[in-house]
Amino acid sequence: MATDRGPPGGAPGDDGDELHAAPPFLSWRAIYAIVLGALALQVVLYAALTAIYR
Amino acid sequence: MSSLDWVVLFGTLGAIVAYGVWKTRHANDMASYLHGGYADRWYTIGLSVMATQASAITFLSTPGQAYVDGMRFLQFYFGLPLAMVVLSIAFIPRFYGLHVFTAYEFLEARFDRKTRQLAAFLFLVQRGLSAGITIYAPAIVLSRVLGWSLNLTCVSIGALVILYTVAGGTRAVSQTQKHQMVVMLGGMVVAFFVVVMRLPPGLSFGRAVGVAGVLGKMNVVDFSPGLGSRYTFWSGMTGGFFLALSYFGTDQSQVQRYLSGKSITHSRLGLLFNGLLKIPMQFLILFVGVMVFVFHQFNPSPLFFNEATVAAVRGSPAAGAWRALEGRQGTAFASKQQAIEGWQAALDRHDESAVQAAATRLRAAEAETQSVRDEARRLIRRVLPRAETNDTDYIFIGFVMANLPRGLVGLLLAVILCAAMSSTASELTALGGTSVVDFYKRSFRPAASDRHYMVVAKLLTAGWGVLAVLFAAFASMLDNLIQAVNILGSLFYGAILGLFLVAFFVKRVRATPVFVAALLSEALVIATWWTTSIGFLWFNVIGCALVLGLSLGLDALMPRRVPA
Repeated sequence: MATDRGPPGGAPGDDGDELHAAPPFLSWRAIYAIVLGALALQVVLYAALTAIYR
Repeated sequence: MSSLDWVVLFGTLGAIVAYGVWKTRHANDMASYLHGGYADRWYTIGLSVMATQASAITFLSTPGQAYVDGMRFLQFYFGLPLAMVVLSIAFIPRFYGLHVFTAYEFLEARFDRKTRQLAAFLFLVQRGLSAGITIYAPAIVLSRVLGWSLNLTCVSIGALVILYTVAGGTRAVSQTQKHQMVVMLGGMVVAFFVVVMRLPPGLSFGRAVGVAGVLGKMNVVDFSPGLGSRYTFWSGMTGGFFLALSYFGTDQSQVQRYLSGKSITHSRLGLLFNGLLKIPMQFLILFVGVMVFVFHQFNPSPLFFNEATVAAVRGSPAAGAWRALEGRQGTAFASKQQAIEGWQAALDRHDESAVQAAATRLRAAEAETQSVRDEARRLIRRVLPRAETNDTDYIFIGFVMANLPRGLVGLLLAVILCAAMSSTASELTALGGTSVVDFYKRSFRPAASDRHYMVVAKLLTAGWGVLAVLFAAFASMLDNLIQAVNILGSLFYGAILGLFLVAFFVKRVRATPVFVAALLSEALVIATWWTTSIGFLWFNVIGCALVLGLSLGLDALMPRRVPA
């Protein structure tokens, strides 16, 4: 991972390994779950805030 | 402003710009100039993406909007994290797979040149207009606050941005944005603590939020259905999602930010970083506005926040009527004080019915305050027919100028100028890059040297910068320009997103059907906007859905060539 890309205009698909590179920590699925989970958590918190301070 | 404030203001701006120019002094080819030599790490990309979106208006208007309308604007951003995930999965790998300089190149690889240049042209039109507004909008406020002429303020912001953008290209923009974003976030955190410290000593933080809640400012989430209300959970999750997908996925000012990543992993992580931090950042900015509102429940606020307009009314024959309105506002303020004292005492006694009674009195006094402000606006309209009667943009800066200690005023002004410069810089590099790659190189000089394209890119970037400054200088001659440009963006984004979604996910659709579908969809979107009152966020969904549906229909109807 973290290799420099080839020059612009190069043939599509010549860096397939990089396109499927794993992140440096966790897995992509876990990172997506964290981002969406944080959104869900925030919506719940903000809904609670709205209800409490109505 | 004190001399310490001037030192902080120019020291912060000068240091950031000098660092950006120095750090990127070796940008000498197209890849370096347009994509920073593909050297940015994920946190630089994340901060750069956030800084590009956060214009000066974000820091001037958003706290004022919360002051007037409460926290509900936050819902506008609810679709953004989901859009970042979709972009990471579906968009970024496709852009990387083709090694594109601009997003629109992908459309030629999938369809044809005319579809690519249609999307690029729509981008140049809407972003070219927006670049002028990005300079003009904060310049109106800053020129009044700093006592500079409007044109001098526009030229100063524009010249500084053109200098480091042309000198260092995308890398200079990313490097400066990283530091600008730190200044912006740090400045807002400082502002938050200052406003909380300025609340009355006997008032706990929870009670301060309680006062905001009683007066309807803690309306963060609204689950009610209906297309008429602009900011609800549903419009944020759908319209906001499509807007974020269009903006981050198809607007070159954002696409070039994450395509400058060291690798696809860094690009993805940068966008997801934005998905994690954007909503908390907007919450902070809005919450600062709510706290300023609470501050003014204990400290008298101006009847109208634009001091120049107030001075003009005071110098007119309507000065007596203005003083009468200020007297009524003072009476309403005294009523509020009594109601808040009663509310706090009732809370201390745990007397629920007295709490409710005091809250009702407080809301009545606030309604009277709003009624007086409405009358003040009507009076301004009568006395000064050409004056702007919306003072929302002046609320936060007015608080900063009047209440922050020396030095911090300069820091907060640096926040606002950093925001203006960071979003303008991204726009200019994207406009210059798209002009060269999608038009000049593609249609006029396809075989020139790399150095030639870089020189042309720099010249065009500077040219777009000069155009933006000129547009900003003449913008005051046009009414409702900001609103017009915002609507223009919403009208085009849906169709551009539709083009990309068809390119990515509908393999069978050919070039001409999708091109005709995009033109027809634009016409239908504009007709719908003209004849209905649907909130502007929904046009992103409508435009996208129309391109998808029409391109499928037209592709089925148009005859396919049979191979000979």
